[in-house]
Amino acid sequence: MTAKENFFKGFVKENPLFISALGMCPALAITKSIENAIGMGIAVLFVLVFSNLLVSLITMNPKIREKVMPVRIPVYIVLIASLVVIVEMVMEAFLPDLFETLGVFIPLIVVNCIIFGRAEAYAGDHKPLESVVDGAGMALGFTGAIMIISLIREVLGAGSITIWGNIKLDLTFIFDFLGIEPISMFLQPVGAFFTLGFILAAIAAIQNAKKNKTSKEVSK
Amino acid sequence: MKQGLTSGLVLLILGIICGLTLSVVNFLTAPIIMQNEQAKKYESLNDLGIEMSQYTITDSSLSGAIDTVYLLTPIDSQTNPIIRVYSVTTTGFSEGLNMMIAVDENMIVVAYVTVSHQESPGYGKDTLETHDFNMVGAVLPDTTQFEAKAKTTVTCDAVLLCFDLVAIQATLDFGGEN
Amino acid sequence: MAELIAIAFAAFFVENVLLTQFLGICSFIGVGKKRSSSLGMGLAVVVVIILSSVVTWLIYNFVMVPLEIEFMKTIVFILVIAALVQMIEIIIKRFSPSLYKALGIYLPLITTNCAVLGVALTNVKEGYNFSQMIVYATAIPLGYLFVMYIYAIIREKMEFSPIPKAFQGIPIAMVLAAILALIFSRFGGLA
Repeated sequence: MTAKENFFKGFVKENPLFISALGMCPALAITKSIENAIGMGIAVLFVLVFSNLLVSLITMNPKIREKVMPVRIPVYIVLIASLVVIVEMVMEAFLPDLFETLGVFIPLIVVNCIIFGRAEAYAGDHKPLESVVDGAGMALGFTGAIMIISLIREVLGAGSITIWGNIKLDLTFIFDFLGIEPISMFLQPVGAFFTLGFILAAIAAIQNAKKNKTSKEVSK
Repeated sequence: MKQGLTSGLVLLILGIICGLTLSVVNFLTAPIIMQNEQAKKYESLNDLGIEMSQYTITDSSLSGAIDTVYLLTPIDSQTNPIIRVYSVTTTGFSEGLNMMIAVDENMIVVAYVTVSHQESPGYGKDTLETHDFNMVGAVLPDTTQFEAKAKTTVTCDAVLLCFDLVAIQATLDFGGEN
Repeated sequence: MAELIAIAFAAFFVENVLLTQFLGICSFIGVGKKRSSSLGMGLAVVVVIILSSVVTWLIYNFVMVPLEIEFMKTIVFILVIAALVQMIEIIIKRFSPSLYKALGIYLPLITTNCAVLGVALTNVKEGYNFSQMIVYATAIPLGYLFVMYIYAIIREKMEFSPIPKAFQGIPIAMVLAAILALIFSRFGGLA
């Protein structure tokens, strides 16, 4: 697999959220605005890239690997948790408002299956550079996925697109033109479940269609 | 047994490294976090126009007209005096005229601001928002330099009462230090 | 007392851990397919959350606060939870094989259940005292169990429904959760 394929596999083919259904808690909870999704994405990117790097560095040397392997689960937990605490502190210091909105979901990156899953499934037996590329691709794929959910929820629920702080696109004129109010239901938990459910259904529909196509081609 | 020992050692070393890294990061970020928290907690004090970054702030609650006293201790005690900011509520035409009055250790009024009120538009409201009561620089408990505004006696009396109440409390608070 | 009841009500209905706070969704979607497994998982979560809340609360207030290492809470809590889950597993395996048979397979999954760490962190963030913490840490997992069981009942019935092919599996589970969330969001008006 080339480095490019390795990087982009997290975007579509092995998207952690849409294909593997990992990390659903933050994907539902913090997707009220794109700003939140970007903030969460940066945090996950940092943690995932560094945890993959550190795990692959530790397991690269056969001697260290031999000593670490029996206790690798607590080792990984400590590593990931330390990275998360660093993100937590830096974010609280420099982005206090965002930290406040993301709340408990920043420390909860510790138990996000994506991070642990990549450490266990990929970084443990790949070279450091490959692991970093893999981590970055996966994290960006996750970020893209939660941004799509946020986009749908924010546009339909609040009639705006908040990219960062004051950089905000106001779309209420469309709702005014149509003579309707934004559907605030999409900002509530209901909207989160609905949006993710329909996106997953759409993906399943596309996959099914592809499968049918290939099976038809094969039968021909 | 040896296996268990190595495993324990690995975890111990890792724990120490992580702990050290974290305390370094914490050492760097903790002051900023503290500052942010303080800035948020004492947001209301910003209207007074005192440079808050020069002071460390603590607050204590009281019962009665004066509900909160903020004690501003200067970081550089040579140039700046200690200031106490009083949040005081009295009744003008309507209830709930809330003021913040800053008094320094020489009993001089440094700054004051009306935080919230329910006075009538056109009368008391305008007075509170545009009129200068000329109290900055007054040495409490002397409030003779207070300038009332005609036609809004009740509102002005309420404001003056704020200063009088603060004068009593400030005499108590600063009394022991002089 | 009224305050404790308010905390319990809010934790059980209004801020339901699954439908409002979105904690523990993975287990909700994955395990909530059958009544028996949802009950087993739910009970295991009740036990683990109550125990881990007590332990983490004690460690935080009597060890970490005096040492001024509050910033380490995430890392300490996750280690405590992981160790606790291991210990519970060993203990019930030893003393009650039948209970182990019922709960055993769910226990390893619980370490990565965000509800457990989430409750531990919320306890200290809200600054609950001991009795408030106990009430909160009991009501939250009971709310989890309650919603999970209802959810499993509906999903068992749904097995026989003609669901569009694209919606089979997780998508329809999400839509069902959305409908339950809609019902639970109305409890907010009572609080």
